[in-house]
Amino acid sequence: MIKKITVWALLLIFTAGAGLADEVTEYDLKAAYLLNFADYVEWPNSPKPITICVYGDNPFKATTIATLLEAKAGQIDADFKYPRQLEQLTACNILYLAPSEQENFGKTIALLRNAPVLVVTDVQGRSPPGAMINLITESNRLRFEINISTVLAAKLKISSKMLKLAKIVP
Amino acid sequence: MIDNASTTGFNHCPKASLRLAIAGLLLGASVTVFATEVNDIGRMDLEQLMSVELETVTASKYSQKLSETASSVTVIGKDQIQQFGFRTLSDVLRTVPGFFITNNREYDNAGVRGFDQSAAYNGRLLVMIDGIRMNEAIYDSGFTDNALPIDMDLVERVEVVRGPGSSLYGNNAFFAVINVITKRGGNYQGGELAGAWSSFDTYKGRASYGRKLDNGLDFLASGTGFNSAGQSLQIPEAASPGNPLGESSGANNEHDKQFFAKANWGNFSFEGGYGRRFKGIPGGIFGVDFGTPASSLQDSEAFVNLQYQKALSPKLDFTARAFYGDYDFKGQYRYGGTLISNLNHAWWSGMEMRLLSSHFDGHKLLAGVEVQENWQLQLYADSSPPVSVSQDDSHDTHRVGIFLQDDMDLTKRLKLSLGARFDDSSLSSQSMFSPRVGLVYQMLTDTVFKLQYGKAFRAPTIAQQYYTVYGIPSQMPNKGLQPEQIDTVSLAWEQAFAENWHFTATGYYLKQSKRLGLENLDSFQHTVNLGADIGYGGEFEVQRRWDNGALLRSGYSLAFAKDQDPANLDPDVLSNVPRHLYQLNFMTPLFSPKWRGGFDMQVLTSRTSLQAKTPGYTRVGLNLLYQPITYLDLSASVYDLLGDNRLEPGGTYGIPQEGRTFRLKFECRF
Repeated sequence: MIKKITVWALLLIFTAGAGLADEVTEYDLKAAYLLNFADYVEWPNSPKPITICVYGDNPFKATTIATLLEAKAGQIDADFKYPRQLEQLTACNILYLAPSEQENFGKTIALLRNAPVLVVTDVQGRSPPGAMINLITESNRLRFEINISTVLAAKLKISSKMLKLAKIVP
Repeated sequence: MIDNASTTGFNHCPKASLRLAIAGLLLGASVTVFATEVNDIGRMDLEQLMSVELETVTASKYSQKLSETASSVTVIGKDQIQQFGFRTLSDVLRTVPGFFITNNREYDNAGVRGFDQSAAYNGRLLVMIDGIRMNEAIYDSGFTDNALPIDMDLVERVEVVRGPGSSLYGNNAFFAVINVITKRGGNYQGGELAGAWSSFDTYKGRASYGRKLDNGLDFLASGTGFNSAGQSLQIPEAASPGNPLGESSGANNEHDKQFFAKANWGNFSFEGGYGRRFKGIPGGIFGVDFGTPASSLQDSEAFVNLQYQKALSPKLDFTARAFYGDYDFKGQYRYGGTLISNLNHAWWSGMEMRLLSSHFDGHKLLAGVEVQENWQLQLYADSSPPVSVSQDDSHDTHRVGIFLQDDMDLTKRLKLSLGARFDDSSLSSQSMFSPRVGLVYQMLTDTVFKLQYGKAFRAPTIAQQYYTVYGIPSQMPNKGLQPEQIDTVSLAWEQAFAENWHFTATGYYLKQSKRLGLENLDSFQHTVNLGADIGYGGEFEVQRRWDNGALLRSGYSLAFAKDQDPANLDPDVLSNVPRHLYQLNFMTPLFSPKWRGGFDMQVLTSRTSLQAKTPGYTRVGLNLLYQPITYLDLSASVYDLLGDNRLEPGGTYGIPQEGRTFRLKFECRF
């Protein structure tokens, strides 16, 4: 018995030496959503490239972002930025509020009031007031809710294709 | 359950979905919810991304879509656990078709598919936390009450697979396999405190902290304490001149602790837990004495699991894990002034390795080996005064299992699954072979048929073979016991309709042989292999989810069983099992998204045993959840609203149940 365990332990140690598997996590998928939203939304000033901001503790892996940007290089002209100051947020086109910022939603959104920034959150269960898009998990899939009135107030246009895929919340 | 969207996902994005379906050997405690490459999702558009499946069923040792498993699976997620106010795994199982729970004031026992488990400590169920076996090594108990070392607040979802699971898991995967999947540190991103007050001076507190760091490390640690003074009971049958009403107070207390920690980093995952449950046994239950000091039992279980998972090549996944477990039991039973003490202790360790290959087109091959060494299985029993030791011995045993499974796509619509496991245990002279054959036929986009045959076993426990006590009644060892076996054939029909409705109907036929049970002789009792039983029945489940988070889930099951043991006087009687079982669960947002309500109901028809007939009952639960701000959840619950003072069978006398109880709970995050 001890001999068997030793053999296995050795095997385990040897195989442990190699690199990490490149498997997709929930946040990798969320990053892909953020990037894709750029393709379905029209901003009043048609920015190029489209600035996607992540505000709060960054939940995304840098390698994921790089891989995603590369995969969509010809199709979507976008950039990920990680601003630290609230004042910088108005320069964003898509703003993802990380879970660590959830308690400051009200403050952040008040600051942005009606600026053409697509505010994305991922609060399971209910879309926080002021959020335009809320990522949710449903039936084992990642889906999103759109709050139409806040989108309209910010003078953003969301393509009908994206609206069709979304759950519209009042 | 059928997932309608998964089939449409196939149509929209054949290549990506196929890869998703094929890839993926899931760590028991994995943070990776599905296995594909970032490159793949980089190329998808929004619509295709929406077809990527986040959660999959792990009950077959690797992730599979629900519609692809040949078994009947019910998955209950954390939203339901919270909105129905489920406190224990028992509360969850109560709502699963084919399951019912009885409480004998010692433990919760789960009855499944027409067979009561109260004498078997749930040994005919395999209970796992994140794929780690929780059935301990002395009695093989699969705890579903607070003795299971996990707080239900930490549970992401519970997967219940009805039917035999021995072809992958070996011992105890007899009627069903239950896998409790825990949350990740990333679900918390900070701390959480919870407190609850319930009827009978019951208090529960929990503190948890979890985070996912930028470097990929995901960790969660949590501790729970539970204290209950317990209900006072009246057992008139046990009345005496000194206690004319048969009153028992103060002896129904429960004191529990649960600690849990997990961490994931890259290919490694660590997980460990400890649970201790002390339960007083009220006077009169099982004939124990009234008054103080009272009888009691205490179960403690600890586990540690270290796992490594890696894709050796794009088509070959490797998983290895090493585990350690410890179980301690302390029972003190007082009969007529004599104290019978039972002190048992076991600890074990082991390893499992498995490979999942998709080298051959249309085949998913899984091969693995699992070894467990029970280094110490100590059994001690004495009676006093005067002290007389009836048993003091220690054993060491080991078991080895080798398993192989091939899931193949015969045609685009027809899948065949062949699997078998070979188990060898030093405790039994007999090696066990457990094959399984499953056919999944996707007749239409929304219609799936599943046919399955499987063999499963439950080995005699060390306690059944060696337990010796001189008392009332005396229990004697029986070293010649053989494993009991079960053959099950099931046919399931899964249908999605009107977009959000899912319907499942399962019919089964099973045959048990060499059932392990107690034989009462004049001066003592011991465990023996009894005769065969057959059972057949059906389970029906319908479910609908609404976009606002509302859910309707309803189940009906019908069970017939026949005892073919010639010694049984009434072979058609299902001992203590309801023939009809009806379950209804409905949860919905109320007034505004801040308010959520849950309603659950179970209706059991009457149960008969040779001694007594227990009338049927209806159990209703109500839960109201209020989330005034993102960081605070408040809930109020009523359990067994109708509280019909019923008596559960199983003891010397009928066992009074708790009846209507209340709970108030808060959870706050920071």
